[in-house]
Amino acid sequence: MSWFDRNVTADEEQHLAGYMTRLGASPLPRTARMPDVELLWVKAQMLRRWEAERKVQAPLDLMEPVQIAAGLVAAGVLLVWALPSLLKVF
Amino acid sequence: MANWDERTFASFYERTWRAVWLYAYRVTGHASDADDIVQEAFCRIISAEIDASDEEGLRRYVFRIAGNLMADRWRRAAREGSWLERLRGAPEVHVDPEYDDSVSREFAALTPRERALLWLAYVEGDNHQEIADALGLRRGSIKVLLFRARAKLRDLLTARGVTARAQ
Repeated sequence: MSWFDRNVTADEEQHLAGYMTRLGASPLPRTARMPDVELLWVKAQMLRRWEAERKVQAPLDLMEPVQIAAGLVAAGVLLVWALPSLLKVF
Repeated sequence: MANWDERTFASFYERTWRAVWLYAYRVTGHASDADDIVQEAFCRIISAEIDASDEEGLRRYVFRIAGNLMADRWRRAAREGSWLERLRGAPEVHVDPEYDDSVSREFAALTPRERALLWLAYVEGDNHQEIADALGLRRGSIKVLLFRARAKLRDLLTARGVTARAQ
């Protein structure tokens, strides 16, 4: 390990590596609870489908406020354009 | 999208989950967090743009997802913690009783990032580039960060009289 070349001696390096090896080989605690792989597969599929739907829906969600704003602007323009005629009528 | 089927997924999961769980457990210090992180990492991997037949690439990728998920949790905890600390006056440290064993006590005294760096370097045997990818860090900074983490762990082990020879 070329990055272990300063300050830590070779002896200390061996101690560290031994300590980390023991830590890595330690058994799983009793509290480790992993779901059944079939259950996880179903969950993963659902998440993937949901993510795909979200990607498809994203442009639609983005366009919704744009449509509302365009509608409001169009209504305003129409009102301004029609205002002289409306004033004549009323 | 990766070419997953249920059998490929089950096979990869059975071979890999223990390593990812231990990594998440040792870095977060909480079994319940490790459960959540592993589940989410494996759920996300099937949506990844990666070849499902590339075992080593998949393994690295799942560690990377786990690293990102842990980083998200630390950031969220730091945000929430800063408010809580202001209210309480002092931070509250929770240690999983099962985590606090004789082997891991010194390791638990490191910061989460130091734990992740050392775990990936020693237990997973990753090189600098792989560690950088897994933790979202620059490759150039890994050497310095690892050096500091190693020196800190060595000091902790020395201070508590724990050495590989002694045990």
